[in-house]
Amino acid sequence: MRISDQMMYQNMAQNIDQAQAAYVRTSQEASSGVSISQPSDDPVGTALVLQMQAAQKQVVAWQSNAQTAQSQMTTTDQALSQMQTDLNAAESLATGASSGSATTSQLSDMSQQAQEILSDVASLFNTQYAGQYVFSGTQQEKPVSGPDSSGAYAVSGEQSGGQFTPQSLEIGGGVMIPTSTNATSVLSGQTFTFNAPGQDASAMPGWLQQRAEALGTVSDSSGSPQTTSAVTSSNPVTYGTSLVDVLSYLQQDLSSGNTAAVEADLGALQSQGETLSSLQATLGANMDRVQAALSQLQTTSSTLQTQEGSVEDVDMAQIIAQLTAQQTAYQSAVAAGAQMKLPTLASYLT
Amino acid sequence: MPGTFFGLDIASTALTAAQTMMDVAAQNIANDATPGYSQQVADLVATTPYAQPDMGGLYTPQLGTGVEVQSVTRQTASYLDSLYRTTQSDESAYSTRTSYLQSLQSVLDEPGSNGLSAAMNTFFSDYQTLSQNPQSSSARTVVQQDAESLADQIQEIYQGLQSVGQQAQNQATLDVGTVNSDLKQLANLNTTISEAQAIAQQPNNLLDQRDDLLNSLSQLIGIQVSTQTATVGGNVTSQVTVTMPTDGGGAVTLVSGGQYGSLSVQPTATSANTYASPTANPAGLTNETDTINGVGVTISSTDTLQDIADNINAANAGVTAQVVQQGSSYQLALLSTNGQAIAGSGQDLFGTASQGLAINLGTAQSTLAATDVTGTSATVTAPWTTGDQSTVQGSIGAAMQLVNYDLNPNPSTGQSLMSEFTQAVSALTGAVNTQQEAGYYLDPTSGDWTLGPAMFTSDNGGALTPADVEVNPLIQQSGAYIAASGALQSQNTVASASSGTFLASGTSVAINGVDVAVTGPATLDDVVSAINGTAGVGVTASPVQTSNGQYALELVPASGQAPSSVTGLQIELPAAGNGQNATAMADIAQQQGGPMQTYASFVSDMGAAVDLSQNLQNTSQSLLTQITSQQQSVSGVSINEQMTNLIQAQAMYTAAAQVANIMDQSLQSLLNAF
Repeated sequence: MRISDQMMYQNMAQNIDQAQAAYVRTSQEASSGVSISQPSDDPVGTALVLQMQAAQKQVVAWQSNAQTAQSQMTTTDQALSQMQTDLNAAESLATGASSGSATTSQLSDMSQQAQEILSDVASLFNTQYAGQYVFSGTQQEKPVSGPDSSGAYAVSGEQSGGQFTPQSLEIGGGVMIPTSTNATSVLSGQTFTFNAPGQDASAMPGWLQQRAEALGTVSDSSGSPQTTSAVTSSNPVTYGTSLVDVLSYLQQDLSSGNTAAVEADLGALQSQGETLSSLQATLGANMDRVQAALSQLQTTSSTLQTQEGSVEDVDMAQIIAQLTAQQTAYQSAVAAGAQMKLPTLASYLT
Repeated sequence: MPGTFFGLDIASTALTAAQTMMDVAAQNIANDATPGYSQQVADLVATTPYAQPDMGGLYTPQLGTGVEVQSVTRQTASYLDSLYRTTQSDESAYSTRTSYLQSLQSVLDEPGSNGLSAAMNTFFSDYQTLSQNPQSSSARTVVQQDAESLADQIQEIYQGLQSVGQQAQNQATLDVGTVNSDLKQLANLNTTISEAQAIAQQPNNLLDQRDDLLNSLSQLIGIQVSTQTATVGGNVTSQVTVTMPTDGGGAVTLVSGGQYGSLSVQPTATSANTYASPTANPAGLTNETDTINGVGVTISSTDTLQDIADNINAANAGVTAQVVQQGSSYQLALLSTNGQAIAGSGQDLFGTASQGLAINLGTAQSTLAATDVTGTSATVTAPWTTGDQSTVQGSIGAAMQLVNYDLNPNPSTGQSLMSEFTQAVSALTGAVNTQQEAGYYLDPTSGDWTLGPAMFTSDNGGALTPADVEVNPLIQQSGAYIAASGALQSQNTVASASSGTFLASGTSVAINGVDVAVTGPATLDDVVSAINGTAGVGVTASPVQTSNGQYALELVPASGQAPSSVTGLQIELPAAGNGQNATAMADIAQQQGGPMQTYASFVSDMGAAVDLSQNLQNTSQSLLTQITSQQQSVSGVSINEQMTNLIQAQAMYTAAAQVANIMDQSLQSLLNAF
């Protein structure tokens, strides 16, 4: 076969080009540390990387949600603890007053303290986290309670109707965590209204019956509690069982010095305290869930990073070895090219 | 009996032949590096012998009369030439295709933080932030801003992809100019070569030139070359015929003898809608006057497809309209006659995407038309031609492939890179719009709870495409229109819709103050049918399955406005603080087969297309190198070989001169004898 000079030079140029292209490509990978810089480098890997990046972003969003949930729950927990402290203070007031040894002026002071406790608890129900009312569920922009036009504390919004939807945040694929505490059990109790004598009052809880008897509006003389003649259509009475009701009854009863009624209130305060404790327990369980989710998300996040790295990142040791090999190949190709000025027969003819 | 100087004459022919051999070697060495040059060889033959009948005997002895160079011929192998041209067409097509596809790929800028994928991730994770604080106007503004930049980016990518198509079309137009001038030169060379051959000349340089032109032509288009020989006055002449295959399975003759044809690239726009016959009256057509290249064309609502084509052709607007068949249906195609893109009023001529003809002028499409040697027009390849790829090879073929098959739906499969992109975008806009329209927002003017408006709309009022996607102007105006709240769903659930007690005993239901004729105990289905059977409630009820497999009641407001009151159903009216719909929106990012996955598979397919093209390019390149080597081993110049020839010719010259000298001396001795 004839070997033409053109052929030799063309082959040389092509070999040098190929060695250079391979070298440049590897050095790009080595310097960027990424093996996929464009989809054609690894079409399947690219799709994986895009999906892992999306998953990564999602995990970051869930982490942010979980942290928000954690902060909001911590705020709620603090409010509930403060309410417990307030209830304890109210209980000791009631205990002091029910012994009957307190003087009128002492009772008046106690009544004032009870009023302060009431305002404090009412304002605690309006605790806010980042501008949102934590006890309002999904109606976060609305406060829970406040003094109404007559100065009495009332529960407003959905909490009053017993319809409460907790605000929920997503902290994992389809995993929702309620971030707001459903305090309807202490916020809205039952309400009993009487407007005539002889009405059946047996539906009222024991402590309320006891209090009504102390106030003279209910009598148990017939064996079943009934309203007395003090209750008429022109003088109706309404009794509620919510925490705000209980605290305002305590304040009223201290103010009027009705120790029998105060004793009834004390029982109610104790049972409300237990309800608050169970709310805190539920909240604590949810906080544990969020904490567990946070550490789980942290693990997921680093797993995703490792996976993405295994697809996208170059193996440095391998790439450096490859780079060295290609550098040698390129140098050899160039050196061989320089040597290629082969003598022809013409060189020896004189 | 030969003459006295016969021997001298023989020596003289040898001297002449040796000199020619040296000249040929010199010419070969001189053209060592000339592209397209084929090594030439001096064909030596012994001259016609001299018969000596007077010598007697049985046979008449013949005496040799010397040597002559009968011809100087090129060393070529026509088999390798045609293989070389075919391979070069492939190599040129793949390398051009690779560079176009790489441009498309770089428009996407994936994977990275600047691509559409990152923008979608940001958009969806904004919704998670919004779900934390749904009434926050700053969280809403972030969603709104990122939605706008998402829409902008979709438009930019679409235009970027289209502009690669425009560049390919422009390049094809330039290349077609080169093809046409090559065809003319080939026809001229055919004439000149056959004239020279007719008078027994060997036009080696012209033959080389012709081969070189055929080679450069095969870089631009795929051609088939055949050689026609004829005998003129005892001499053999050869002319090449160049043909090019067309998509229909036929072929167009571009050069035959001294005649030549031409090619032209015609930017093309095809109607979006197809019809059963050329005489069909397109549905949704209105009486209208649209402009094409500044010339008004009027159509009437009763026109048939063919009538409209005739109207357009009569208007002389720089386009040719024709009714073309694609499969069993017909479309109207506009072909630019001046090589320029067709300009017109609106993106969609004579209708919108959903009605009328809707000829989209915004996309790059091309028809490669040919005029053959007899002046007959033919379509080589067109956007509506059914097939997986264009039959056109070379760099023009690659441009046609890109414009008609990658950037427009492939007529065979309906799929292409561009349609995959369009599908990814519509998966995104569809999922986002559906979710947004299922949620509620607090209307900033009326204060009513209202079902959300679409997030993405078309900026020209037509169907939503990547070219015209924008954020709903209402949402651009205020983030308050982002529907962050969930559907009206009952709090209480039942295990089965058709049995069990959904509505507790003694409970009655009223919606918007209208009593519903149902009292508990009742099943979910009973309540649903009672609500739907009550006039004036303003809602439609349906049972929905919740995430825990239970069934709840969902109310969909008939007017898009949430009911003002619901009693008995434990349905909470939506609140600004309910981020349910924002969470559902963010979850689209993780949907199986959702927009993120559709887009990722588009990017992957784009990468695979580039990768495949690169591999094919490498394969055809090494094949080309191999064939070039083979061709060089036949036609290339070897200095060693030529030097050997020179030495041989020199030796022959020296020897022949010596022969002449001896002859001279012999004659001298004869003369001296007298």
